[in-house]
Amino acid sequence: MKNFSAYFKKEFLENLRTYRLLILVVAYILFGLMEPIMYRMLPMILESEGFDPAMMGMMDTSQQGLLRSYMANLSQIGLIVVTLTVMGTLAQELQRKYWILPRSKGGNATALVLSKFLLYGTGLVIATLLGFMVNNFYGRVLFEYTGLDLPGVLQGGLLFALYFIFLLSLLFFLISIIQKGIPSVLLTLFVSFLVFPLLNNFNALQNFLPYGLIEESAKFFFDWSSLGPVLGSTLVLTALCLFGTIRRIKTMEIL
Amino acid sequence: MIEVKNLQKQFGKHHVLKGIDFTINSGEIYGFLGQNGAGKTTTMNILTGLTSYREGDIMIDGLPLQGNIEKLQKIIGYLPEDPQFYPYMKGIEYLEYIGKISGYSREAIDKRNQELLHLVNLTEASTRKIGGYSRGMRQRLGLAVSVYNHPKILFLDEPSSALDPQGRRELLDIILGLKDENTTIFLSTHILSDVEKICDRIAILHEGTIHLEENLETLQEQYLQPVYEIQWEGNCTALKEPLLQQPWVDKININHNHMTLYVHDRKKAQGQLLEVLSGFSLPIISLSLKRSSLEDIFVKVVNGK
Ligand SMILES: Nc1ncnc2c1ncn2[C@@H]1O[C@H](COP(=O)(O)OP(=O)(O)OP(=O)(O)O)[C@@H](O)[C@H]1O
Ligand SMILES: [Mg+2]
Repeated sequence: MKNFSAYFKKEFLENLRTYRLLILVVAYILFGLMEPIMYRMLPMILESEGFDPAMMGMMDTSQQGLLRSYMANLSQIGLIVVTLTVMGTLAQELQRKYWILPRSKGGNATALVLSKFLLYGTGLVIATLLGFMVNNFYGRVLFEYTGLDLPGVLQGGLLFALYFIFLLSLLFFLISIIQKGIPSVLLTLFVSFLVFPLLNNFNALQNFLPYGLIEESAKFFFDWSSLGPVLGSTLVLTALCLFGTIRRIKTMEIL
Repeated sequence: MIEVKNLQKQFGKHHVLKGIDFTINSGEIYGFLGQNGAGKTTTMNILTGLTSYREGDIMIDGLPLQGNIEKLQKIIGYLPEDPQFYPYMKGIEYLEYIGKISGYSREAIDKRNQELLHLVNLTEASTRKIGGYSRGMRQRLGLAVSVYNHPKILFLDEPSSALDPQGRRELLDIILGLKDENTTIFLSTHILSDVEKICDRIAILHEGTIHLEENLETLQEQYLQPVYEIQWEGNCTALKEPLLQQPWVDKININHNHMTLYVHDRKKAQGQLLEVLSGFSLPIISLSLKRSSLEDIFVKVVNGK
């Protein structure tokens, strides 16, 4: 792995020129801004449309409620944006055959995959933390909240980002198998939107599903020691996905 | 240098390679010919370790390909049919990337980049993004990449398919230059005149097997016999008999003033033909040499003789 920096630098350059990470960060921040504004505006909109503003009572406008609603948005539309933005980086290597020449020069598939994973993983953590902070800050300004400290918010964001990082490795693995972006994205979404919520109903699995990270992150105060199983299993699953991706790209037929 | 025995490959039910054998010697330029879809690219992908194969033994530089792919890729260069590059990179950035993953030092990379950009005539375009390159420019960049690590063995898959006439000539010079450095070159192309200019040996791949493998010189001796077209001032029927007496004359066709003369010993014919012809009293209006070309052989092989 002595040339790892060469691969990482290439991924970094790719990002500067294709704006992938920038798109992610901007999207996360926009979502983070929209939530408090929507919540602030909704009563006025309801009133002007002739509804009873008391309907707002059905919505959780506490600061935690705001963040939870932001997280719900991120885990749905946000995930779609993330997967669609990121898929190209690996799918094109394989589908458009960019990887052939470096590979014919003895290019290292491990470095290729890990440098992408490192860059987008870091990007996701940064985007998530920024988004959480913006949402929290804006909520304070608009609603004059006081509760919920930054450390709690950041820890929540970190757990939330970890879940996305796992999905990133799953997306990479699916792309390495299918070699096409969109079908891999759809499968990843299928896993996160349907398979995990379903499996989450089984008590035996609950503690070990990466999905649990999302539920945990919404609590904003953590007993890290109780998170052991879910963190451990997420780590193992992520490593397995990455290992599978690398293996697959190494042994892949070029036709 | 390259030794291939009973190489087989199939895609589903389609047997592309049905057991091909060949040996390429060190420092040789080996022309690999065949129709579209014959399996030339497939063979190259196998030899460069990019595609698996069903059966067969491949030895490269004394090592079996199986199990030594990563090691061998360090001494191999490959220019694919239609090389693809990261479109957002500039030409020079791409070369730098290749240099780094090949383990070169900073100074070595700078030096090699300038050398190669000059060699393939891309110095000016090197600061532009590859996404804006033409196909010929991409082929040039691909050539630079393929020879980056001074490979002992170079695989070129239709390297001149997108090049302009000048680029094509430059490519032949580059290839000959590499041969002088004792690089072994495996070349697939459809441009037979190029093959005639630079190849030492050729093979024709047809219907999954190698139909002809021959030294180009031998081939020219054996198959490429010259044919002379002679235009006389008058009817030349009477000249047929005396000419057939010459041991190097094979066959003569006559149509009034026009004579087509086939020979089976090129060297002797070249030496004696003019002398013999000038012995006749009938004046000659024109004499021209029509040589059957590699193209004729190719067509013959491919059409089953
Ligand atoms: N991925 C694939 N799946 C199925 N068949 C394939 C695949 N790749 C190649 N083939 C088939 O293998 C045969 C050989 O293809 P190949 O590309 O090696 O031909 P070629 O000799 O390089 O032709 P050309 O002169 O057009 O470049 C063709 O019939 C092609 O259809
Ligand atoms: Mg081909």
